[in-house]
Amino acid sequence: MIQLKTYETLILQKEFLNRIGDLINIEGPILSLFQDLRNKDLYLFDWADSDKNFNRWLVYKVSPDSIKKFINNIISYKELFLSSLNLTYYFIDIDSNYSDCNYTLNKIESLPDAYIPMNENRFDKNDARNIDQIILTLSNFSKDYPFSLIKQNVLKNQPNIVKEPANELKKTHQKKYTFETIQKSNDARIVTRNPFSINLRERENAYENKRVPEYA
Amino acid sequence: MPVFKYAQELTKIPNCPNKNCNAKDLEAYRWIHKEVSEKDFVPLSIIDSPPQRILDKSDILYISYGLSFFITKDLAQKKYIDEYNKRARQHLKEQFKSDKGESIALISLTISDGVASEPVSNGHFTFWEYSGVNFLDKIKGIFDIFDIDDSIENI
Repeated sequence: MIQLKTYETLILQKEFLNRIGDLINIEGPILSLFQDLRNKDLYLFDWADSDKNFNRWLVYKVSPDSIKKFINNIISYKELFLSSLNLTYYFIDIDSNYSDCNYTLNKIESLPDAYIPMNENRFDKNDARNIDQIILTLSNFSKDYPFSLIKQNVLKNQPNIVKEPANELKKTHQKKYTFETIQKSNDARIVTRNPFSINLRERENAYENKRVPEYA
Repeated sequence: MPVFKYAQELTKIPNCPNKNCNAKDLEAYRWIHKEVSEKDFVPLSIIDSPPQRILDKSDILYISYGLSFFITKDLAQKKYIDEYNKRARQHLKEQFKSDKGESIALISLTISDGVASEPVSNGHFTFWEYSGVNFLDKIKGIFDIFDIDDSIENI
């Protein structure tokens, strides 16, 4: 497995973590959706690597909006990956013995290109597990989740990702946001510009200092 | 009375193999490595490397002590290509090849080898072998999945 530089840890307590379902499951989970029951934050566990003893999972926070777009084939696996909030990625290596221990995640300083999914991979409902539960959970967000705050944060913290929603989609943000409206809006685009061309830690520091670096 | 090779493990799984599984003579296809060996006929649950992907107890339900086969070569190849393409990272594609092999074997199964589930729509069925079966002796042909230039053959 690729050696990763890390600089912080985050502990996800399993007692507050609910596995909602798998967006991809082929002979076991590949892209699994979890929710923190305390604050409703959504986490993806994304299988990225393995060796003789461990499977490596990249863990990142995503907005319900991104997952809806992925399920509706508006965005690809890669675009979903790159829509992670703050472009912050953690990893954890897990063996095949299930344990009740909490997840201790390591924050990745510089993500290898090899860990970024290929562009052609998209959602296939035949590979999903508990998709009804995933959709139900996402639908519940529309009632009480502050989408606008998430979107502002995403745009503020991801200067290298330009989101270009279509006019129709912009209108839906002003209305009550439902799963059905997303399904009808199939032309939102995400344009990415070498998101990992610099060190993720430097990027984070730049955010904290309210300086936005320029990217090619 | 034949005994299943993994009889002890199967006792832990209720109704497995189920009553709809039958012993029969048939030709079937299975993914193997080009340098075929007994390792190509080991059920997923016995393989410990690479480790199974388990995030919680529900993943353990996917444990199986049967072997995967397909009713035709084309369906075996189609499923292989589907799964290969669904690996979204290049190193995971390579790992898939390393784990599952890069060839398809035609294997002649008989009623004395084990029992087979009914095939599903993609042509896949599971085969629970009896003790003492030597699959290497039952291989009637081996076919490449990848072209010489390492691209995937079109079917």
